[in-house]
This record gives sequence, structure tokens and C-alpha cells, in this order.
Amino acid sequence: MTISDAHEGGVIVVSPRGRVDSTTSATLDRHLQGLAAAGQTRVVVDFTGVDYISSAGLRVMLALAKRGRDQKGRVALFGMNDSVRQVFELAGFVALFTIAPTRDEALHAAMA
Amino acid sequence: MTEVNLHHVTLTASVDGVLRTLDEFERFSRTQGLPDDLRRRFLVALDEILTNISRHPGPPDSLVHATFAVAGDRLTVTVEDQGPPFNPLEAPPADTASPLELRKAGGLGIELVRSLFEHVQYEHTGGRNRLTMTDRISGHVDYP
Repeated sequence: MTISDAHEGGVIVVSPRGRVDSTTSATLDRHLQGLAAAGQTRVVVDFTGVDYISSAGLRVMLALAKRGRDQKGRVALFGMNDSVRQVFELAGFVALFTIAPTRDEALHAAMA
Repeated sequence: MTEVNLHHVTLTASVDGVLRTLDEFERFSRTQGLPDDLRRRFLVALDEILTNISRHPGPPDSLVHATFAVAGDRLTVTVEDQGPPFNPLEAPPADTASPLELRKAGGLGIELVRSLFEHVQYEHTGGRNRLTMTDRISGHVDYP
């Protein structure tokens, strides 16, 4: 997995690439925790490069949502393929996140 | 007679075993030209099942067997292990509805395995768990 960050108007856009599963989720978790520790509370996760997500990845996303809530931050997601979207739906995670149709709308939601 | 394309992976119940099996399934999917959606759903399930097995392994040095089979318009993936008997189809449902502050991630993997395929079957025979997942090879997905 590779992860890249972009800063846009006070929001950090995190773009993981590859699988988000038991073999990679710890890397993403550390990355996101590092951002939280640095006080970065407005986070957009760009899923366009994510092939699939399993429950290990969902666990990382749940932790992100909970930190966002605790830190009064904003979290938004975009760019999911059908498989990732289906996993979010089956897990009941669509109710926990702002899932935007485009990058711009995700940024807008995270700036609100 | 329907042609059957089979691939068999023998692995140890370990993180390395999980990674190698996921990689082999990726290769099998590409060789067989399986649709992305189907490939991804089976990768999710393999990650869930094999990770579970590596947390509750069988006797030392016992091996896990994964088989990928394409027959006609069906893909079947079977996983066999010698860990404690565990029927994922009878595991309690995961919490998929609590508000964020109460939500826990436990059991979601099993929930996914139960929900992602047309047909999932469990049996415990000869001291082994055997989980069989089958789905149609098409680009179509029925959202819940």
C-alpha cells in the first residue's frame, strides 16, 4: 500500500492505494493516527485508488470517525468503487460517514 | 462436460499465509479473466476467513487448504482448516446499526462473508472446518 497526502484549504486529503485489508490496514491506521496527533482534524479519504476494503480496514475507518467526533473534526470520503461501497453498506457504515460523490464535494463537506 | 479450472493453495495459519493466498487469488482471477467485482468480493472473504483462522489455528504445523475453482459460469472458493469448529453462518450478527459513539467493529468480517455471495456453506467433517463460497461469474451485483 502507498499513501499520499494533499493539503487543500485546511483539509488533508489522504489517498491510500491498493488493498485495505488485514495485510495493510495497520499502515493506514498509523498514518491517520499521525495526522490526528498533529492536530489535523479535517480529513478527506480518497478511495479512488482503493481496490477493496475488508473488515480490518473498516475498523480503521471506524476509529477515524470516532476520533473525528471526539476532536470535533470533519471526515468525508469519496471515490469508492462498487465493491468498497457494497462493503460499507453491508456493514452499516454509510450512516457513519459523509460519502461524497466527488472530490470537490468531499472537500466542501470537510471544510464546513 | 464442463471444463473446470482449479487452483490449490496450501498455507500455514499465519499473516504470511494470508498474504500469499490473496496474491495467488489475484493471479488466478487475472488468468481466468474474472470480473473485478467478483474478484474483490472473494478477496474480502479470503482475508476475513484466513485472518480468523490465523487467530484460532489448529494443531502446530497444521495446514490450511484453499481451493479456487471455475466451472461453467460459477466460481467456488473452498477453505479448509483444522482449527476449533467454527460455523460462521451461525455466529451472532454484527452491530450494523448503532450510532457512532456505541458502534463496535466486532463480527463485521463474518457478516461480510455471510452476505457477499449467492451461496455459502459450512461443514465440519473429519476434524476440519470447510467453508465453501460460490457465486456467478458476471459483472452483476445485487445491492442489499
